Amino acid sequence: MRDVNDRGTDWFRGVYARHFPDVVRYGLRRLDGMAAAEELAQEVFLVAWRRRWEVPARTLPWLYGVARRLLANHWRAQRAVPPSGELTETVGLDRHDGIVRLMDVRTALGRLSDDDQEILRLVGWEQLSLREAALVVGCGSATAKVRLHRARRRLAELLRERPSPATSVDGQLGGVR
Amino acid sequence: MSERLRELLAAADPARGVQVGPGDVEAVLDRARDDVTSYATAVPPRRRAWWVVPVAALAVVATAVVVVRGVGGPPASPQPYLPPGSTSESAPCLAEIADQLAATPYDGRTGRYEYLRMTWAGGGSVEMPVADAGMATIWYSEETTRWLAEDGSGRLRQVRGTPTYPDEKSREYFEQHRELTSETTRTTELAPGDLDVTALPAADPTAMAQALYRPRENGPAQALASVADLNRERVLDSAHRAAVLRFLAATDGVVCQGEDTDSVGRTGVAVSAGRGQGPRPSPAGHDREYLLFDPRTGELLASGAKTTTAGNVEVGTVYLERGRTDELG
Repeated sequence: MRDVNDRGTDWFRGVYARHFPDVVRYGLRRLDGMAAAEELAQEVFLVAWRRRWEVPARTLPWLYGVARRLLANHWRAQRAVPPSGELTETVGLDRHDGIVRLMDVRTALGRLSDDDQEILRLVGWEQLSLREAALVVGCGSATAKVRLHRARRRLAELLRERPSPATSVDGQLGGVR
Repeated sequence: MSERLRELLAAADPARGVQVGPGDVEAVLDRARDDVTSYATAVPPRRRAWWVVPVAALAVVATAVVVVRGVGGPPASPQPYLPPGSTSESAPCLAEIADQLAATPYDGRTGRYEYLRMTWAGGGSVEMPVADAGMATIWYSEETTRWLAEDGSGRLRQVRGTPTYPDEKSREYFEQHRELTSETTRTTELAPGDLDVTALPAADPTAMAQALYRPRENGPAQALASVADLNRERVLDSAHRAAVLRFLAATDGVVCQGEDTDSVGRTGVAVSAGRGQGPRPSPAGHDREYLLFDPRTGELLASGAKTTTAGNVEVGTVYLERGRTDELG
């Protein structure tokens, strides 16, 4: 493990190069598009530079934790936005079986609570261990284990239900964050 | 996780196969150059861990602990607990509560199950399938009631409250797609071993510090977050509540914030600590971790976050009811 004395710009460039793609992917899975994900990643690394004395050896889960808190701030800031009053048009959608299948998983994910979704994403997409995922979410390992167990079971139940064929233009499709 | 579920999740990964560019590290460093606080490469002096105590001071601590355990009722110390080497308490309001701690109805009671009822803020977001329509967001509070035995068995009941929405388009989207919100009440029977029962640290402030203030690099907010977490897992008796209060009272960076009233009308003593504070704090506003304690019994009433020392509180968890019982409800 490198000496903490060593944490200058060279050290930081190394951390950034190693972990920037993974932090962007974290953002892509929870935000709308690459631009938003890259912006989030830049904010995460700015925090990492400012707190570079605190960055632990297991860096990536710590970076995910920073990203998660920044996202929470982002959602909180959205609450300050007054209602737009716009009406959304409902549009008919094509349903190819392959796309329906992917959307089934994402729709099913969306039916879980936010914390359950996050545990499943961290373990399933970010490939974290349960203990690391617990650190990111800020709960104990025992709580994370219950959430994962419950989320996994619930997701499996939802995927066994076949969506009824849409007879109206209101589809069930929707990307899920 | 089953292989099949893993495959399905992998296939649904929005980042799958996406090529990510190298980013722009110099842009980050440029922004940091505009920071008001100096980020010169001077390394902060290594501090000896505060729990490594000189032998003479250890004797004093041991005596204080023996006195506490000797008392039959709620523990009382003749003087506030101070970790060796410190000259003052960080949060004296918590030490005051510990000094006069009153018993709860469940202190000293036995029962197969620890009973805990709490609410927390939940929600989710869905990408609306119309191009550029953005995200629809739903918020709801969820009430969880849990009966937990030593072997991890018991019962969990979750009740989802009335949803709210940040804007009209979110409301409309979820009202048009009611299938996206799951059932409002769910009861789960827990078999032995289904839940890992978190071990309670010993009822003294040093043990609490060692168990709860981890990782240290996250700063004092970690101590508060760990106390909130412990309270979501276990029901604390008077000795453990006093130990938690004394541990937090002596933790650098934990600040008394006066009285506050929670969402169910209970008035308590509030403390907060800044999140992620290293030796070079950022000039940008950081969130603060927040806890609200009952001034009589020392029970944790609520936990959450604050925007600044004086700012609004965003409550994460409200701890409504605790007890010990032999009956599942």
